[in-house]
Amino acid sequence: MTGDRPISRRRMLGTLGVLGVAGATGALTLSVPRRAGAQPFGLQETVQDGLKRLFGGRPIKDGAGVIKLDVPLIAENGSVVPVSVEVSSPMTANNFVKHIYIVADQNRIPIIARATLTPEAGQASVGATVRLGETGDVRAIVEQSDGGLLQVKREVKVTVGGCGG
Amino acid sequence: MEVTRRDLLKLLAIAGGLGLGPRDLEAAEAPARLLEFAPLGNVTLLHMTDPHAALRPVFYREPDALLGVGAERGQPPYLTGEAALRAYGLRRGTPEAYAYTHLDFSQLAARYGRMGGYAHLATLVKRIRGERRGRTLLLDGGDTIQGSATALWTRGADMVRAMNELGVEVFTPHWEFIYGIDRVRELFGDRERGGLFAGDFVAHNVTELGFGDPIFRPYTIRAVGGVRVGVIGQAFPYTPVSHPRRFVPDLTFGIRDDHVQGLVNELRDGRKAEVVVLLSHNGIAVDLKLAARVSGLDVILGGHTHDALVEPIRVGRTLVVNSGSHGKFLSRLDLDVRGGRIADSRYRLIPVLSKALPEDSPMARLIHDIRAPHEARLSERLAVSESLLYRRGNFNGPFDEVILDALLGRADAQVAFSPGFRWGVTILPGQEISLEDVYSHTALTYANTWVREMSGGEIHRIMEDVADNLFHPDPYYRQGGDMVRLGGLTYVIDPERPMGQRITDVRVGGRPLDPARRYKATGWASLGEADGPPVWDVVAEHLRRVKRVRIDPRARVKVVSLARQRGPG
Repeated sequence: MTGDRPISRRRMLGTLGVLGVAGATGALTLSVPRRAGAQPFGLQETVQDGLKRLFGGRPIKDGAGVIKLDVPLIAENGSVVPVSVEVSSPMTANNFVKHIYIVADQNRIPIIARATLTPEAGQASVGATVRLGETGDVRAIVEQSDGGLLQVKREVKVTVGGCGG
Repeated sequence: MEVTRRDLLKLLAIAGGLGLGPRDLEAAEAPARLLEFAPLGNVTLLHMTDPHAALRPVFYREPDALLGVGAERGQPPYLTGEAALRAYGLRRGTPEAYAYTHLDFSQLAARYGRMGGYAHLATLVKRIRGERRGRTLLLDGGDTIQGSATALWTRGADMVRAMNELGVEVFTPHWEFIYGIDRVRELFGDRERGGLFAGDFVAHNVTELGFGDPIFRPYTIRAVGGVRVGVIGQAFPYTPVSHPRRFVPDLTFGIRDDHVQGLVNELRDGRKAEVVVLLSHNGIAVDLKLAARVSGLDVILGGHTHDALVEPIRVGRTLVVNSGSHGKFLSRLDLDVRGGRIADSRYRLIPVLSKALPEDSPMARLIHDIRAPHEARLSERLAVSESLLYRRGNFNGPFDEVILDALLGRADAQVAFSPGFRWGVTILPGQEISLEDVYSHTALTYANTWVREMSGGEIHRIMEDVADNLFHPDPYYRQGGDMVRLGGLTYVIDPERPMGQRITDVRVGGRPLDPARRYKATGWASLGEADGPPVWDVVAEHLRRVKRVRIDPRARVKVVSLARQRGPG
């Protein structure tokens, strides 16, 4: 686990932040997931319900060492939190990262984004600027072309702020 | 082994049984001996931090409550009072006990006098520079231009003049930003331009929000005693959430230890630095974690949490120093650098005992010039205190109670909030409280008070949020400072529990806090906009009215710990 974000990614996210949310590489689309029993807009669900809706009972393995999730430990502004996900994975026709999900456990709608990638992307990385309602875990979940699921998560604090020092 | 005069006297005392009378011991404890230092090697790093604009000597009581969580508990720096004395082999009643702990504070303050002050500090710095010609580097870890009326009124310029007179060579910021990024650029310059400050302002972790462009120089390299010393600046990582966002609207900060690692490598491999120092405003817990994650740092000179760390903590090959606050201390770290490695080191957290150090004339003149236009206003006597008043400590201190009483009284509110800052002078029993003293506890650029209704649930959530900033098990999630000070209510806290479960049994006016009920609340230093009168006016009015202040112990906060009850310790 690394600390904060290196400058190159910050630059990238800064750019992406202006665009709202976009993929870092070509050949992908990014959307709020709607497949598999899409929920009506504005409906609240728990993160457990959301994951069940998307993945059924499929096991999600620990992706530490494969997935690099970059997100501030304490959000400087909960309304615009830069998140980036980088996956060390081949991107070949037989073995590639199909989807990257960004999930905020405590959000009213926790499944924030799904990026769909193809082998033509060349690398599996995505950046987004997300809104966090309150302190909680942010997860990156990776769905591989064989259907395997991996995740990493990190606590992000959304604080009322103030300082003592 | 070298035997200092103090050691010798101790040995004689032990060997001779009653060989030394109390008078001799008294002489042996003369504060001047603390200024003696047997020089070592070729590099002397002099570090001060968090002076909070204390131009003149102050009383400043170290905390009696400084709780660490988990593995930190009972380890330095989370040692106070007798435990700290035991850990460092010090005795009660000595100048060290006065400087490093809260014990017998009123009596020892009367005996040993005020500490710090730039004129006294300047004498000490000049003395060391004279002894170690060409081998010294003076670094200031920030929180320097905030904390006094004159700093506020000159928007930091008075302190930058004092820093220049003192000859501060390297600096990194935190509270400096409350004057706004434009003012910081005027005073300290940036990556391209210089400012009023004559030294090097370094801060690798302050970048432009959009494209990540660095605002300041990340590091500087100085030749000290023939050794190339690289100093990386680590500004306070959580500046944007700790103060109103409007002061740094387009900047982003962060700990960025991976970036520190990159700079260490660059300094060592590319720039041929023989010693690499991180001048840090992280706070000590973050410094210790960072030291374990970054390799190749020789020294971290840390500040922010005001810990007067009596001896450096070694983490791997890194020495972590933290140098207290308010000008009370000057850290001296002598290094023997040979072939790009530190062969030996010697350290002391030197107490700046003003009685033992005459004023430096040029600095004294500058301080006089700074203060002269404001002297009459600053010295207004508002009240006399019958109690020892201080702020520092994890929970409400007596000076906080004065502020809270003033806030509650003015607003006729049920609950009052005041930030758990770690700055502000100590007032001894019998001492007058001047307007200047009030500013020393309140001088910031968002001091307006507010009054509004809050639900019990909201009050509880804020308490939990701040407690998590203080007691989160992972130091990287801590912002520093102490628990928010609360007036009108009492509570129980268990620092070892997770967020949302630390604060229990909150009572307002003796009755349980009702999450659904609305309470009239007041406070100051809001991160949003507030339009009430500034808190220094509210506190000064209160003091003028009461004339005498007496704060008896209030059963405000009960600290419990499940871990402590169950554990062996």
